[in-house]
Amino acid sequence: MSFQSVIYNTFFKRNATYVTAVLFGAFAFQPSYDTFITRFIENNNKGKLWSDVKAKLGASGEDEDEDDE
Amino acid sequence: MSYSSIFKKINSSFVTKSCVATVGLTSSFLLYTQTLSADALTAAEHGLHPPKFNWPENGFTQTYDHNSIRRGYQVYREVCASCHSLDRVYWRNLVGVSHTNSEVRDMAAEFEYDDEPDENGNPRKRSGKLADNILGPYPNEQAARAANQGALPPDLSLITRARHGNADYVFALLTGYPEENPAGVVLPPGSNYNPYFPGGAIAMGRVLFDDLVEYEDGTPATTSQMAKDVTEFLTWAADPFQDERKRLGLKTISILSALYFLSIWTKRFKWASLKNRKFVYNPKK
Amino acid sequence: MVASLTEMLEELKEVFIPTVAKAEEDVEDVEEDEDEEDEDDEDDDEEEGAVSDQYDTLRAQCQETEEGKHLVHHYMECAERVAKAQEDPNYDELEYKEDCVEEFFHLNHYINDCAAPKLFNHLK
Repeated sequence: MSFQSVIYNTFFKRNATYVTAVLFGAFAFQPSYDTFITRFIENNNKGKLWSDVKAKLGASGEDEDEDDE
Repeated sequence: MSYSSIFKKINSSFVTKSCVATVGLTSSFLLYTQTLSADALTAAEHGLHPPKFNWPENGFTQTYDHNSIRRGYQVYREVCASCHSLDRVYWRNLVGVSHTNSEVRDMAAEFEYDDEPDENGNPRKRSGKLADNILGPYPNEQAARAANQGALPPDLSLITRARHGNADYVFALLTGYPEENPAGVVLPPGSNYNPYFPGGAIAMGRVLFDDLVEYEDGTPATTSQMAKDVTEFLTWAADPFQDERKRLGLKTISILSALYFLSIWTKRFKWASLKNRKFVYNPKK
Repeated sequence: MVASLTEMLEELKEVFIPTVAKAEEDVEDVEEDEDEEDEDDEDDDEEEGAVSDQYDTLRAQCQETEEGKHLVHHYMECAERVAKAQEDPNYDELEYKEDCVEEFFHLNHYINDCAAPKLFNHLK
């Protein structure tokens, strides 16, 4: 059985599996795409972000509070 | 006699024509003489346009440089804050942007705010906390004017959004005080020359000089470095959500454009059979 | 199946992110090289005088270009004219007093456009 027919038989063939796949796919897609974009932005702005500033501060022996944003 | 014939009669008369011509020429001449002496609409009136600088946040996916924001706050605190307020920025806004929570708490605690009165109704003071806004140097506008020879130092919270040229203007203004005023320029008393300020005469003198502040990260504090940092800080103050907006914008636009092209493909897919069908009529012989 | 989906996403990420990171590293390297050269230049300047402002240095360089010299010449000519007019004992009563704002603007407009794009490479 080819990959496509596996996909078809598991997700698309029956309405119940199809709707479930759409629903859970949406839930899985949102956070993963969000991390993807966030990582892209962070990679693009290395050294300019607050996390970088904070890391520098930490290196110079500043104590940190827990509830930094 | 109809109106048109009256009009034709008057119009054709030589006297009327010359009257119109005289009035027209005289008024144009009077307007022209005004332009010879008028001071309005000179280059100085508009101010010199600032050039475009390569800000760290320029670009579709570029965020602010938070190192620069942190240094810029220091410049604001040590230099600008002696005259300019920053009313719309709250201490909590700085947390997680340029300073840590404990740092901001300490900075806020150095200021005194009005507290609720005690049981006898006497006013009390308390030290600042994260929920307070950053206090300006003067209690009100009158006090600010009195301390500055009648000139009001503008609040800086939104200054980069409130001037033509935005951040470029602020940077150009801070670094743009010439060593020598252009020849022939006459300034009102108590003002300084700055080509970027519309009109040229600005009450604020040059404030940034090399090595005025000492940066904690060891960056050489040249005039332009300080101007860049403080402008970056003020740009952030005027538009604090830009980083998040750019992230969400990238996310939204990429998803929506993918869906847009998907919908075009779906439409073409669904319509393909309809667009390609052919009706054939074969009449019986 | 969810696993294969996440794998697919991971692959997508891998396709995109390392390329970006590589490109950026290259760019950074180039910039660093430039910075080093620039710093050398600045060091030379600093040896001559005290710590010099990067913008002033760039502007001075721009003023030394042919176009810059040309505009300085125009400005100086105007300044001379004004100085001459000011020698007149009736200068205060003159109806029209020339100033050199326009010449000053032309000069500074050129210097700005020449120096501003380079400036932020020299700042931190």
